Formats: sequence, structure tokens, C-alpha cells
Amino acid sequence: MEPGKIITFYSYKGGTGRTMALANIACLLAERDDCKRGILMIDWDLEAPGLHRFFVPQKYSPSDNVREDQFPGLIDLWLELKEALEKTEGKTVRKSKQQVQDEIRRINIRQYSRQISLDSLSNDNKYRKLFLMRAGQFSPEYSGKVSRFPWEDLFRISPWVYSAFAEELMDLFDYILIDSRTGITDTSGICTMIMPEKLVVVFTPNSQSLTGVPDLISRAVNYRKVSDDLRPLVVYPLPSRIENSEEALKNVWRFGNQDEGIQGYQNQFEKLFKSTYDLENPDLS
Amino acid sequence: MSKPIEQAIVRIQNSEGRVFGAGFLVSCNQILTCAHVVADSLKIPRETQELPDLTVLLDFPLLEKKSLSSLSIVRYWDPKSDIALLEILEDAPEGAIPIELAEVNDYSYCNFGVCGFPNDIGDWTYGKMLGKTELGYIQVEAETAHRIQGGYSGGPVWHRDEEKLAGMVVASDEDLPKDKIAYIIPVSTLLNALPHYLKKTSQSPAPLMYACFISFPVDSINSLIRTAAQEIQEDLEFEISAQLKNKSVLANTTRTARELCESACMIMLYTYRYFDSDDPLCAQEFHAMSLLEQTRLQELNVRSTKETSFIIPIVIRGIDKFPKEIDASHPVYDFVKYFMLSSGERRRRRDYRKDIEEIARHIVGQCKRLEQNIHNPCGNCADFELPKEQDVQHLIRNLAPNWVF
Repeated sequence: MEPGKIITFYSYKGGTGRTMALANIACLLAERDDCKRGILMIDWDLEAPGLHRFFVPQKYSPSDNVREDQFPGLIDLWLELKEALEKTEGKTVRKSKQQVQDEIRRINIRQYSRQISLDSLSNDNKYRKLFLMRAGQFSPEYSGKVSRFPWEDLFRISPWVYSAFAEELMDLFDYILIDSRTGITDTSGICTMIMPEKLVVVFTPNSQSLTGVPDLISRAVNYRKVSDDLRPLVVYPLPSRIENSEEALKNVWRFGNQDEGIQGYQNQFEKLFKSTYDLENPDLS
Repeated sequence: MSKPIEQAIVRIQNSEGRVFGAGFLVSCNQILTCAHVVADSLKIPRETQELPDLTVLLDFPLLEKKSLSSLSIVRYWDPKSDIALLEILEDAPEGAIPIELAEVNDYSYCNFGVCGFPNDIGDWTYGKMLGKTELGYIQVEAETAHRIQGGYSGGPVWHRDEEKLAGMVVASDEDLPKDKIAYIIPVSTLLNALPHYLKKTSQSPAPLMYACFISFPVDSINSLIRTAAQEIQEDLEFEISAQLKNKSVLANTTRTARELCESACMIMLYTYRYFDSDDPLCAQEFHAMSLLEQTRLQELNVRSTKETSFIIPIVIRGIDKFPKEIDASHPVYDFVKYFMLSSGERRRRRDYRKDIEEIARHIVGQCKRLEQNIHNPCGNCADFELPKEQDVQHLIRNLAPNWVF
């Protein structure tokens, strides 16, 4: 079977509507016929989780008294995986790719995700293909787990762990949509450089939201070029929160205005793609 | 020097056993002779233009082991240049060895030896080659008691100084028999007339089955590298097939040593994992082709350069880790930028298509170079074995992904 596609949604700043875009695209993908294994949404914005709010969980049987917030998620999965890897050979010995793959398979990623349904659409079978992996179990320990998780140390002892995780996800689902953390952080690096085949960069058309974006994109593309990952990395710039009534302003942000010293975002991305992909004349119009 | 002639020479006869001239074996079943010898034996006019649709009788009288006469058909017919190529219906008899046709450097006042059948049983003449005449023939003069005369036509003339075929007897000067002058068609004329008709002289024909072998590492997302190899294979095949009939490009899906040996060139599809310790097969394939490359370059008598390379590295990931020592004498292609895009977008790119064309040209050039100069480039392909794992340890490396944070 063809490997699934991982799509990461990233924005440098908050408030761009990134999570909403992800939720909507997940629903659109669920309507496709070629989707057999399902779609997994992962909330990797661990410091400010919010993806779960877009979806109402399926009804449980009365005997199931686990409250939805108590259900484990991504951080709990990583804690279990870390423990398992440390147990096999100790904290210092480097793990081979095969060892890491075996551990990940043993953990069973599916048990950390839940099938979801929307009340208004619950009668529609299509949406049964949607799965959500929450950020984690919202207990009092949650913030401690998140702030203490040693993403770097884990990479040091198991360099293959994140790419092996991506490969396992690609085995289990047709589409994997990742809601990444904002800014330049350890987890946003994993989400944008290692995980995706497609990187959706959401931004509001003002200079603040665009700062850091070209840098992050070229870092992600250049990392792929020297990795062992043969998947292409295609970047989709997605401008959001555009005021359609302000036609003139819309054009200024997109195409630029020399008098005001504004470089249009379309031109910025074209220049960026020209250099990172060595393209002759990229045209985003 | 008489041995190569003895093993190749034939007598052209008619059904009553009368001999009309000579000829000689040039491939496993092809005989070169004069058109007028064939015409005389068939009792048709020497000016006949159409290819005679009749069988020609011949035998190999000077082989150690006697054999029966063979029937042959006319494959090529040029009465103006007086050249005919016959093809015997079975393979040549045991002990017969074809004479190779290769360009001669110099004729002037060089020594020759030739055999013919003026007396039906074989007659030898030695002498000097003098120089070119207006018709493009080489004038020769006998220095022995016997001279070149009727019955020598079609006979192989051996260049005793260069130890190869000098040409084929075509006529003698019957007006002044005491001057012992005769004429031969030089080997270059024979080669020019017959490029599409001549088979290779090698006894085991067609040693090169494939134009190129694509070596690539397996990967946990296996389908991606396989797809990449197959697409490059298709793109190259498209360019190469027009120029090299019966030759294909082979992606190493079956992964056997023999196919590597049967290929003119090898593409190493370099990714991060090409020399990985988990899968030493690529390192073995690379080392094997390096050894074949060395042998081939030696036999061709050319230096190892990017232009003469039989290994073409195509890098699709990790050019920063590509071994520098391979870089020096192989044409390395950076395909990383193409493989950051989907296959559709990649194939639409002009620079990608240009690179593919260039690689195809290189492969075609190397194929022709091998076939024109070496008859059996890889020795015995069936017995070819990959180098052992312990012999490629110097190539193998243990790599971890680059730092992310």
C-alpha cells in the first residue's frame, strides 16, 4: 500500500487560524473515496493545545467513565516510547534504526488516538475515518510532562526515533495532519523538518507574521536535502484573515508597494522557492 | 603467422567440386569473399546487380580436423566494389576461428602473407605491400617463387608487421605475370562496406546485454527509492533505445552479479544510505563495477577520467556526504533539487531533461566504445561474483541523521 502523506500546519505567530484550517482540511479529505486507512490529526502544539475543541467525541457506553480529558495523547505516547527505548539498552547507547522501529511498533500508536465524530455529521459514515491524537491527558501533571520532555536528549540516544515515528504513521493512515507549535522551538523543528511531505505555512499578511517564515522554510527544505528521507518537501504558503472588503490593502500586502516600503508576500515566496528549489521562474499567481 | 589464415580460410566451390577462389571466416558463421568468385561459382554474370538468391558451397580445407562442405547464402552483395558476405547455415566447423577486422596503421612496404587455391589444395605467397592505387586497392608484389594469381581471389592477406588482417585479394596483373603484381581491398574498405552486416567475431556473441545497470540502496520507505530508480530507468530508456537497439537499462531489482557484468555502465543512485552498514550490497555493487571499470579502461588503453567513466553517480540525497574520492574521476550529477519535487514536476523541468540526455549520451558513447574495441568486455559473465562483504568495509560507513535542533 502507498505510504500515507504527512501534512504539517505551521505558523510563526498565533492567531492565524492555523488549527481551524487543519480541522477543515481533515473533513474535506475524509470525503475522498481513496481514503481507506483513515485520517489522523495530531495536536503537537503541546503548550497551547486546542485541536480537540473542534471535535465532539463519540458517545461512550455508560460503563466507560473515563472523561475525555483523561484520555492519553501525544505526550503520553512519547513518554512511553522514551521509557521503552531507555529500558532496552540504557540511556547512553545509541539505538539502531531497526531497534527504534521495533519499539514504535510495539507501542501501538493507534491506542493513543480516538475515532471522532461531529454531532451534526454523526450519521455520515465518511467522517468515521477521522481520528484525533490529543496533546495529552489533561491532568495536573500535564504541564510538567510537556515542559520536561527531553526532545533533544531522545534524538541523541535514538537519532532515528522521529523519522521512524513518521514512517509508522505513514503505514497506519492515509493522511496525517500535524498541528505544529508556533515560533522556532524544538518541537516545531521536528514537525516542520522531519515529519512532513507537505508543509502548509499559515500567515496573516503583515510583516510580523512573515518574519521567520522564509528562514524556517529554507531550514526545512535544506534539512530534507541532506537527510535519508526521499519524500519531496512541498511548501504551501497560506495567507489567512484577509479582509476581503479592503481590496486595495489586500493587493498591497500581496504584491507590495514601493512607496510604503512593503515587499509583497507573493514576491517574497517566489524568491524563496527560486533559491531553495533551484527553480527557473516560480509563479505563485 | 599462417595459423590465423589456416583457421579461417574457405574454398568456394561449385556443386561439381570445382574451386573458384577463397574466402575467410569473419564471425561465427559469416564469410567474406569477392563478389566475382561467388558469381563464377554460381555461373551467373559478374555484373549481376541483385543479391543472388542461390546457395554457395564452401569448405574449410586447412583445419586440423576435416569437415564436410557447408552451404551458405549471400547476405551482402556489392559487385562494383567486388565484395560479398556469405552466411553459412550452421555455425562454422570445429576449430574454425574468425579473423578480426580492425583498422591497419600502415601498408607501405610492409610484409604480407596470403593463401589461395589456384591448384585446389592451397598455395602460399609472401611479399611486400607497396601502396594505394586509384581504385582504392593496395598494390602488392610477391617475393616468393609463387605469385598471387587466379584462385587467390577472396583470400585473406595477413599483415605480418602489425599481426592482423591487411585486406582481401581482388585481382592480379595477368598482362605481366613475371612482375608478380596483385591488388588487395584494404581492411578499411571492408569495414566501411559492412558495418550493419558484420556480426561480432566473439565466439560467445553479445556479451553486453545491458547499456546500464542502476544500483540503488533499499530503504524502509522502500517504494520511494524503487520508484525513483524506475522513473530514471524509463527516462533514460527513452533516450537510449533509439541509438542502441536490443540494449536496455536495468534497475537492480533482481540484484545479481551477472547482470552487473553484462552492463556497459552503472548508475549509482546515491542517497544517504548508499554505503550504509545495514545493507552492504550497494557497496559490493560499487566495488564490483569499479573493478570492471579498471579492467575495461586498461583494455581500451584510456585513462580514468570523468569522460571515460563507466560509473555515473546520481545523487538524490545527501550530497554533503558523497565520498570525495569518487568525485574526482566520475561524472557526478546532483539530482537533489529534482527529488525535492513530485515526479510530474521533476519531469517537466528543462534542466532535468537536459541532464538525462547528457547521461544517456555518455552511456551510449561508452557502449559503442566497448563494442568497437573489446570483443568480450567482461570476460565470463556467468562466473562473475560480487566482492565479499569484508572486501568493501573501507566503503561502508555508519551514519546518523543530521542534528535537528
